[in-house]
Amino acid sequence: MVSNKFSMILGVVQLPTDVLETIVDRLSSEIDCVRLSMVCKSWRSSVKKRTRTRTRLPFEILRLLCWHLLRFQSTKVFTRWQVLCFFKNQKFTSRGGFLFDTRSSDSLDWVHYETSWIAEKSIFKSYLVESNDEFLIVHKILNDIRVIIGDEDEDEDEDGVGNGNEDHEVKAIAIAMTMTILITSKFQVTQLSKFEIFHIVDPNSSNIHVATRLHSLDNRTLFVAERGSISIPLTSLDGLKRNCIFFLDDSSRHNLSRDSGVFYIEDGRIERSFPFRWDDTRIFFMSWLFPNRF
Amino acid sequence: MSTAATADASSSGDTTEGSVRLLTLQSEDGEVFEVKETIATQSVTIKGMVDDDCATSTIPVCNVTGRTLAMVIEWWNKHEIGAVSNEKELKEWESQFDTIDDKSDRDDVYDLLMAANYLNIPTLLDCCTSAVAEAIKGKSTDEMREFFDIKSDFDEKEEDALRKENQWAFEN
Repeated sequence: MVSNKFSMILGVVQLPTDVLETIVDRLSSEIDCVRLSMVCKSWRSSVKKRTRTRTRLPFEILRLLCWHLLRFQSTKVFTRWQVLCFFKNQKFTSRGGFLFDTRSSDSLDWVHYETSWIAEKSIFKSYLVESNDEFLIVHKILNDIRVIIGDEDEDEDEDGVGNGNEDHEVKAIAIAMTMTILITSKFQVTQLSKFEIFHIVDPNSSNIHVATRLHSLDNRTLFVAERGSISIPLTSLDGLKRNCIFFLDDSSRHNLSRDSGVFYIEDGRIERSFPFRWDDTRIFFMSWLFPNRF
Repeated sequence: MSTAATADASSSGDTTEGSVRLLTLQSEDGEVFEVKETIATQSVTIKGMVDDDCATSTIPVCNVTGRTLAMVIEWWNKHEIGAVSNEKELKEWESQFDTIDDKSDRDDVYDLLMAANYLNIPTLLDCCTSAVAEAIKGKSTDEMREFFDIKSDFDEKEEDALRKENQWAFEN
């Protein structure tokens, strides 16, 4: 009945785990790895263990959308990336990040925290928050409400969120050392859709490169903004609900909505503080101020 | 293949007798092979035994049949430093291990994998794992199960959940 020697005997796969892991290392496509991981239970854990630390991406990167740096603990730099990528004949945005030690700049430790695919039309911002000695990445996922035709040419820096609409002509030119994207007549208005929180597992460890999704902040509350985010334990915030994120509309570009309020992590509910509107005449900035803390 | 490998090993043993020690390997099914120590130490396991002076009598190679051991010895002979002058020729000879076309190839590769793993022969392990990786490339999970003859031990619910979770890998 046995059709070949790889087969199971009494339900036990004969191939030694270390041999299987070497085979996994030879697979160049992430798709092959995922398919192999579903063959049976014991292989699933081996393949997952082996692929967890990989830096390989299952998609082709079309364009880097943004690139942020955060320095912490004096010798470590964490950078986040957000890319527009091409996968399965569709365009998606994906995100991730990596951590590297400035003392040995050639060895990059990847913290790959991409967990879901976002269709191209929605965009997101991400924030880094130190919370209770942990390191959180908070993704703010925005809905693209509408694109307004403006009448001015505007320069944008390399953080080119908002150039995803193919109906509008986008020209890219390089000036000196900086990539400048010249966009003709476009505005983008966005509105919060949801937040996703990721927790970097021990950024000091050299062998753990995984960020896990957090579904609760327990007794903490986050205030996020581009100009500084903070995590506060509930005990110091009488009268505020726990496990939520206070957010501001802090897009620094042509995003002229007033989309600020509270996001409740438990049920994804959003309470907006101001009536939502957009305005194409002003650019404003908002940030949090914590007068008693500093 | 078996006789050629044995003859090759013993004849070269004659010419260098005195300076090169011969090791006696015995397969699981009792077949005995005499192999030059310099060749057999391509196996990290055997090298360890030689270094520890444990290779004075017959070395039993458990879990490896005579047929497989002969293939392993052929591999050693081809990969001995200086044995093959032409790199291209060696690659060509190696390429016979690259493709797994039918059941007997699959069984050979499986046997070689197990032998390479047990004897710890990095070059052979590398070649065989690459061959398996090449063979399953682009296959669906079901085709992989068929290739390895492994039955899924996920129940229907788990399998559905996994497929949902990894949906992107299952769209063509």
